[in-house]
Parts: sequence; C-alpha cells; structure tokens
Amino acid sequence: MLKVDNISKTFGDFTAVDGVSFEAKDGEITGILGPNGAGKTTCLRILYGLLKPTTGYATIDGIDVQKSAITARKSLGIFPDQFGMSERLTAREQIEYFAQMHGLTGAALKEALDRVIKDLDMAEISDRRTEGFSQGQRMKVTLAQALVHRPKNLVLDEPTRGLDVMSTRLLREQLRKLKDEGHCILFSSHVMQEVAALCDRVIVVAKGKIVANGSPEELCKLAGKDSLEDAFVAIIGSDEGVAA
Amino acid sequence: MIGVLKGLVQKEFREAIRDRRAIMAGLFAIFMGPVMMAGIILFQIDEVTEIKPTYVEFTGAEHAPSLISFLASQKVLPRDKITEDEVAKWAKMPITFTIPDDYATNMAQGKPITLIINADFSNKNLMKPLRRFEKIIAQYSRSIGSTRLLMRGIDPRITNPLLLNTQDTATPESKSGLMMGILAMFIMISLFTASMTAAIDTSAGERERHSLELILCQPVPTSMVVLSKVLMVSAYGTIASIITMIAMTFTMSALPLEKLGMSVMVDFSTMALIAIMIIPLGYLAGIFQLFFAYRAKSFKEAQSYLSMILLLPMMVPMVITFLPHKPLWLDYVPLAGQHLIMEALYKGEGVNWPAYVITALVTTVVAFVMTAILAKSLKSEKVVLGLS
Repeated sequence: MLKVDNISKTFGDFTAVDGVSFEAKDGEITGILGPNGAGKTTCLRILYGLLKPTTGYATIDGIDVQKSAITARKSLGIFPDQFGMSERLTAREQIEYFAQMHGLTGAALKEALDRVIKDLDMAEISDRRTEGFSQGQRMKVTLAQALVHRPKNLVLDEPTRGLDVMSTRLLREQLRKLKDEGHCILFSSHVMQEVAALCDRVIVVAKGKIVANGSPEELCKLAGKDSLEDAFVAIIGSDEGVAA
Repeated sequence: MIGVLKGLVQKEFREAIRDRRAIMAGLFAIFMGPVMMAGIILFQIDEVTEIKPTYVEFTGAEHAPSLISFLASQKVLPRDKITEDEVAKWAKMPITFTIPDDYATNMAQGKPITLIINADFSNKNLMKPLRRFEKIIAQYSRSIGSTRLLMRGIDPRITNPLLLNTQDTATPESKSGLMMGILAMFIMISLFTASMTAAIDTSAGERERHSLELILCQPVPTSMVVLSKVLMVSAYGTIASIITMIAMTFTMSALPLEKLGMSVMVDFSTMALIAIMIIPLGYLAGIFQLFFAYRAKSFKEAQSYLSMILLLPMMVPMVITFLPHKPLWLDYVPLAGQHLIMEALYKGEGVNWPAYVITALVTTVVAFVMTAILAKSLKSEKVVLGLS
C-alpha cells in the first residue's frame, strides 16, 4: 500500500505540490491523472524518497520513506517514464543488476531472473545486448527490472508513452494479472483511454492540488459528462496541456 | 550488503570492459608515453652525437685562405657547398662572415683585425652553430697568438696563469633528471587519460541515458553506487598506469641512453614500489574525475571538465621543475609527492620512506573525503531536480 498524507513541496516561491493526500490500495490500480506540470513527477519523487516534502509524509507499506528510504524502497518496483538502459549489457544482465540491488543473490537470483523472463515471454531477447532494442522490447526489459524482486507495490510513470498497440496490450495484461495477485499499482498518466480502461480509482491533479478522487464512473457523474476525457477537462477547468 | 556491492561492481566492470571507446583510450594512454619518450631520446642522441655542418656566407674569403681552410676542417662551410636537403633549412637562417680587405696586411704587421659575424642571435636553431663558430674563431686566434709568443721566445702559458679543472660529480643516472621527470609525468598522465572515458560514461553518460534517477530510487545507499563506480574507474587508470610504467622502463633500458651520458637502473623491486605507490593515486584520480563528471549534464559537458583536469598531472611536474626553492611540504602533496619519489627512484636515488608512506596516506584520505562528499551530493535535491 502506498500512501501520501498532506504532502506539499515548494521550490522557492513556486509551489509544485500543495497539500496532496491519497492512498493506493493493494489489489487495486490507482491512476494519477493530470496535465503536464501538474506536480505528478514531484509527487512520485517524494514517494520514492528522492525529494523531501515541505509538509506531510509518504509511506510504502506503512514505512515512512523519509525516515527509512532504503527499507521502504525494498517493496517498491518502479517503471520510469524513460527506458534508460545500458546498451552494453544484455537484457538478462540489465535485469540482474536491478535484482542484485534488491539483495537477490545466488540461486534465488537465478530463479527470479528465469521466472520474470518467462513471465514476460522474453527468452528470445534475454541474451542479446539491449543496443538496438525496439521500444516494445525496451518496455519489457524495464518492466522486468521493476518486477524481478516481486515487489508488493508497483509505480508506473507514463508507462504507455511511445508504445505500439501490442506492447500496450501486453503491459495492460501484466498489470491486470498483478492486480489480481493483490499487488498495489500506482500509475501516472495523461492518456484518458488508458486510465479509463485500467484504473479502479482515479486521482486528478492540477496545479499541485487534488481536484477530484474516485472511480472513473464517479468522476464522469461528478462532472456530468459521458466520457472521462470530457469529465477531466471539466474538472481541471481548462483544456490546457491535455493533448495526449 | 556485500552481495549488493558485488552486483553493482559486476555491472560496472561488465560495461567498462565492453566499452570500446574506453578501451581505446586506455591503449592510447599506454602506448603514447613510451613512443613519445623513445622519439624524444632518439632525436636527442642524433643531435648530440653528430656535429652538423654550419653554412656561412663568406665575404672577403680570398684574403684569409688559411682561416677558411681551418673553418672548413671544423665543418664550417661556405654556402655554395650546401647539400640539397639542407637548402630550405639554411635559407631561413643566414649567417654572413666578413673578412676585411686589410686582413693579410694587418696579420703580417701583428695588428688586431676585426671580423664581422652577422646573424639572428635570437634564432633558437642558430644558437648552437653560432656558439661553436665563436669558439672556433677564438681557438684559431689563440693558436696564432701562441705561435707569435713562441717565435719571440716566450712561453705562451704565461698568458694563462690560472687553469680550472672541472670535476663533475653527476652520475649517469642523475644527469637524466629532466628526462626522468618527463617519464614520471607520462606515467601520471596515463592514470587520467586511460580512465577518462570510462569515468564519463558511468556518470554523465548514465545520466544522459536516463538511468541515474532509477538507480537512485533503488534500495541501495548512494555511497555504494559511488564506491562501485570509483572501483571501476580507478582500476582502469591504475592498471593502465602500471602497464605504462613497465613499458616505459623497458623502453628506456632498450634505448642507447649512454650516448647522452645517462642511464636508467630500475630493477624489479623498484618497479613494484612504484606500482604500489600508484594504487592510492589511482583511487584519487578516479574519484576526482567522477566528482566533476557528475556535475555535468551530458557526456560532452563532462568531457570539457575532465580535459581541464587532465592538465593537473602535467602542471604539477612542471611547477616542481621550475620552482626555485622546493618547499618541504611538497613531498606530502598528492601527485607532487609521488612525482618526486618516482623521479628519485628513476635517478637511482633511494626512497624517501616517510614521504612514501605519508603521501600515500594523504592521497587516500583526500580521495576518501571526496568519495563521501560525492555520495552525499547524490542524495541532494539539487542533483535530483537536475535529472529532468
């Protein structure tokens, strides 16, 4: 379970996040929806323990990330917005690197690698260097390195950006499967269809504040619109930055 | 935690060994030194051992045939004797030598004769030929003077009451001082040039590939991340530097240094001493480069920072060489201390043990403090905010 309670973050005069509180429950997919510059990335960085909130706190499975970042991060898997990887490592070595950072060694390490490679159906590419990988293949490696240590919580930052239909489908299937296994999934996006199709709960942020919180249906009802996209525009009050 | 560090180190070395650009940089660093050194020395030997003819434009040569033939015997030749491949060189540096019309008359009467030499005395290439020319004329003049005294029944030695006997205590090893300084400099430079590319790739390069943020989000202390990287970068530099040292030593002992009146006597145990000394220095060079490369946002920016750092191992020996009074504490300063020890060892002098130990300690402490600062700075919000 991921939780942030009344977090704010100011940089000089600028308030990036202003009193945000939300919870992402186990067995649910929670979406953070907001236009560019709404404070999504700052929120996530506070949750990872990279930035110190001006007020409030964030917890991962009840552990305060400010107080014990290293312990808290152990039950966290992160799927970043950019698939940065070392092109001189093979896919397997790349995943191994992240598994080792989570403390896996020896037989447990090998087992974890074999399992995640099989789960994501990437045996064919696992011993190739990642140089020249397609965006879809990179997505698989990135997802594998986020999941190899079987984290209870998974955070995805704009996961479907630049992915083709097949890769998006594969990612969605994986997320549903993880949700059914009881994982907690938090997912930031500005793609409406994505959020509508996947999320049990949507948190809409704009200008650093939460402007709505509920299931996609509830949000539509709240705004009196039929589609989530219209509801979103109505809720944040402008169509600025919604281009997906 | 040991397992985590092992994983981090394994990844760094896997990447570094497969980095063709970094390997090339390492090989370049290893070969550059010995090749350049051999070039310099062979050129010097050529310069020193062979007297090259000097070509002079004579005016009034017909008045002094015996002087002209004496000059010719000393390889000072008239300009028309110039060989084809030397024409271009001597066209740029004319020397004219004027013998007055009354040379023969004044010579016969024992009156002083003024000879005129006209050349650009600031020309570096002419310095040696002109000095030699002056000596030859002085020698010729002295021999005529002595003959005149003898003919008058006077011992010519009467004009030379004092004789100076110069006894040089320089050994063939110590004569090579400057050369050994250059040698030590090359060994230090390779410490930096060999590891520069690897250092940039693992820091600024990783940031450019958008991998750094994700790594900082993992359950590992930044100190371990920095440690794994500095281990790799230092290993690169240290290994290259030690290989350079060995290659240099063998190159030097293969060259005919005795022709320059020098010799290098470095045995296996001396080489081992230098190798051990290089290890803490390699650590410092590694962390120094990472420290600044992490302040850069891109590979290119880091390259421009680190090429400035590359000046360090060149500046330090230069300052040491040209410092008139070397302060004592210089013995303990990283880079300077090691340079002095290496120079002394190559000159065949003994090891200054206190300096050897204290420099190693000082170097390690400075490197360790820099490691700690870098690890701490990677936790700062400024670095995180600079990521996107």
